[in-house]
Amino acid sequence: MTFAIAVFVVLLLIGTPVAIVMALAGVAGSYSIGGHYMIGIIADRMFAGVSGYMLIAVPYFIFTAELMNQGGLTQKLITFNNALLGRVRGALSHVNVTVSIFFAGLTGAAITDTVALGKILIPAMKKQGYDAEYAAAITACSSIIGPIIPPSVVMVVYATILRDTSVIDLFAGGIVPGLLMALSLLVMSFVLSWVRGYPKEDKPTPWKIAALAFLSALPALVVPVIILGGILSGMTTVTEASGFAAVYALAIGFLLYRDLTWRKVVGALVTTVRFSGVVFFLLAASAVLGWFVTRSGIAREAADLITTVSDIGFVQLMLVALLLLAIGTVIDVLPALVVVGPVLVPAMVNLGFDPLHFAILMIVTLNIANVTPPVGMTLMTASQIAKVPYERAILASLPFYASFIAVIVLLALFPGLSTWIPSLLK
Amino acid sequence: MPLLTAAKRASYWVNQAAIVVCIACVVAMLAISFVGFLYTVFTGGALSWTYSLARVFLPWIGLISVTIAFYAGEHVAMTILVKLLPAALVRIVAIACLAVIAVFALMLIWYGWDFFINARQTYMVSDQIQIPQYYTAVSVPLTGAITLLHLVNGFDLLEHYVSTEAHLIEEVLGERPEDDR
Repeated sequence: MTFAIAVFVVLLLIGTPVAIVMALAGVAGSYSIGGHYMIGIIADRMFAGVSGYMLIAVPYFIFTAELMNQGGLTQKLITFNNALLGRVRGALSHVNVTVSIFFAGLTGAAITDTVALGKILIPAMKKQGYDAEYAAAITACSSIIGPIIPPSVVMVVYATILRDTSVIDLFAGGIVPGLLMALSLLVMSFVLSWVRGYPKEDKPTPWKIAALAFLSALPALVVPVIILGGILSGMTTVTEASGFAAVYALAIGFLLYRDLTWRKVVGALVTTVRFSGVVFFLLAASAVLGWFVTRSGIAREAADLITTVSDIGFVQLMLVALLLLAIGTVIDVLPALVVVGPVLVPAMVNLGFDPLHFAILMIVTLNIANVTPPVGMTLMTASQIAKVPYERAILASLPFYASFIAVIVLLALFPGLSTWIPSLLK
Repeated sequence: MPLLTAAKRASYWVNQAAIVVCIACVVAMLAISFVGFLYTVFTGGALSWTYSLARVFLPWIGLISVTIAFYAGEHVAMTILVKLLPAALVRIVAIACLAVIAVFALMLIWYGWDFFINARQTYMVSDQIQIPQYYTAVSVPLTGAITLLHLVNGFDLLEHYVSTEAHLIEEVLGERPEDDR
């Protein structure tokens, strides 16, 4: 095991791609278990790692998100939400959060949401007198709702590498925590807007315009209903529903909105295979490392280590959440998930925690780390759009970090927040 | 040097071919899944062959797309320590990093070839449509070979060594050409 850990640490520190680090550390560990005969598992495991049927949904979800992004949907959603919240102080700040909820059901990727919403909302907020760093902070922090509210590529990956939780349960389990995150952001947004005197619309939006904006966005808003309705009702599998969503997105883009061109579709397909490559590389490599981890007893030792610190469940969960936040500050969500998941999840299940409860807590915590320094790609992107230094965006995000910590504590204290909806489906 | 230029050109065209293959696989898989979805909706039953056929494309997309992400420099890596090193050391570490990637690619070719041969020798076929497994198993050594070929691009592959986060973000925002290799 020492050999595998040494390989892992050295390769990681010299900047080797994380996927290759995981694969070679897995090979080193396998070698230490069974000698050179075991090195050959690299081919078998990498092949198996990308062959799970459910993974068909990964390129479909990415493709659907790309099509939706190219189709001018963002402006329609903003118009509709602004019609609802325009008269409230700090309207655009709240709109940023509520549009993210809608977007979460369409794209499920934080960085996509940041770019799509940020490019329209951040300049608009600056123009209305909001601080640029605040606009960046609220945009980035609300975007991380994307991978929590289904559909979510992160959840598909989780269910693939850790087979004790179904993707259907994860999708259903993410709904309440995602809405809770949105609610916590809205509360903070209301408080800050009130204290700082952020603007509101002078005149209410005419209902006719609001209704038109809603009707215009409605065909796209049906996508999450199709995906979730089909999957949660048991009528379709995840792959069938995600495949249909992609075809539906193509159909409304070409026939209804008429803003999709073949050039845009090809561009979306190229982005899809490139981003799929990043996800599949991590999955293939995690299968090699996972093979070694399950045979090495690391998970059992990790569980023992946690119990030596405290035998109180809540404290154990908070310790692990702190560890995840620390890891997430330097590594992106997916690699962090595939690196620590195979060790932490069996350890926590051994300690008696519900696999679904811990899965949701882990996904939420790692996503929150996506807006924290030093490596918070979502916040970095938003600060770039807002043209403010990253450090100022971090400072402006501090109140929202407090909101998120409250959400983590609530999720740790009340497992029902994650498990209630999945239990209704059984 | 002409050999290196030719190898870089070959790497570029192989990458373009890989993109076409992967897109073709995604579109084919999408068509198959959509047929399966429609059949389920209208009949309440399930087409068993759609599951088998779609899975034939998955390892191809899964592994070949890895080389596309690799060529585009989109791999995830931790560079906090590297960025603290002096320039001379960074070069040495980058060479070490490329050597590690080469070892990885060679292992994929060597053991992937064994995996492919084993898939040929045993009668392994997919459950419903009887497609031999070696049609998909060959994607493993092929991925290794393509990765090895892309290494001719040298330091260009290690964008994460030289690019600041700002550059990466500009790329995400579409404010900079993504690939000017």
